[in-house]
Amino acid sequence: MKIGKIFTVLRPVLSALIAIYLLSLFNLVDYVSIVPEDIKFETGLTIYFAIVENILFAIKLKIKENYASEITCIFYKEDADISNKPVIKFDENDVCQVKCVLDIRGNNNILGKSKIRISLPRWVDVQFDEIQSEIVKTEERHECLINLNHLVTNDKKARASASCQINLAMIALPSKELNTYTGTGKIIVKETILGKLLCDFKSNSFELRNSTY
Amino acid sequence: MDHGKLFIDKNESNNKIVKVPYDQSQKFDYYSFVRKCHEEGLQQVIITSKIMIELAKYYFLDRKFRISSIEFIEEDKELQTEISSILNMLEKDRAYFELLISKLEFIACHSSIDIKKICFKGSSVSNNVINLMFQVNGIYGVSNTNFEEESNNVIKKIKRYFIQ
Repeated sequence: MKIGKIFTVLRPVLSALIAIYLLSLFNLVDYVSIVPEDIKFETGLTIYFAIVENILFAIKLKIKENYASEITCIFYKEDADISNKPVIKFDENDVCQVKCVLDIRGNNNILGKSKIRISLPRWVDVQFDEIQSEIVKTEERHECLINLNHLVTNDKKARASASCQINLAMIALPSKELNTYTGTGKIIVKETILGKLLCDFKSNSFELRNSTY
Repeated sequence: MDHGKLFIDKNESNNKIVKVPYDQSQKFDYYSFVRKCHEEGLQQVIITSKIMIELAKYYFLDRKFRISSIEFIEEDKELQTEISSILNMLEKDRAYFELLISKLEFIACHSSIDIKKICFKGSSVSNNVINLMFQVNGIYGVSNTNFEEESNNVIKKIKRYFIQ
């Protein structure tokens, strides 16, 4: 959650500013006789700062609980490991396949409005199985779009938790000579502004090599 | 045997499947052929394992063809031997088709493109012998006299896999 990181940095500054402002309006310590007169401001500031800091922390937790979302997309050949960048080689028929496991967790509303674009080199065409074509559409020959709307429920208040596996079957333009082509398959996430702030996205990419490589 | 390659016509709005015949007997340049089709807005079709299974069901059950061979992309001798033995049993008893399909469906669950090539043999309505061959990269072959008719049958059978 990007907004969470921003909030963590800004929270002490914000807490101090709010505490000073509240203190200028009303200092509760003025009415506590046991506090010496010369440290009443400092004591008030410490108390107000602690209260504001905790309120802001509670707000952050509430936002995280209700809105924080996460999208994980891992491309793999055999074992799904996000730290790997699999190398996929086209065979003598110019076809190959990469598997992709997509995992989403978080707010239905935010995730439902997000789309994932898989971009492939221009010399590659991609194709999906019939069942998968409900969630993945080929936009251009070498690009496809996963609409996360198909993976979440209509209940906008509910938390989404879904996972699916997509097989990307690819076919390359055959190479005339012993030319080698390489390219990278990568992911671009299209989110709303709120999605950009509240959604974390993790992915790896994969390398494609044609059959003459 | 006449050959053709299946493409998705990207110039059409709903992914129309088209065949482009080519003459393999001449000095044939596959690269230029595919490149030219690509430039004309045609996208190569991958005959995935699921489509291969669909074709097997159509030709074996509906058209009473024989399945003469199945080849796989991965060189797995054990799998190849197992499938060849099922195909042999299928020659004697067509009930083994269910076993073959369950094996192929299990393979197709794990990969989209495990079946490289499938060949059929049968006869047409006019009792002509038909040999058929389908490859994962969309290339297919049909006995000369039945090319047009069988090409149209295949396109009809697989087009639902490409509707978006």
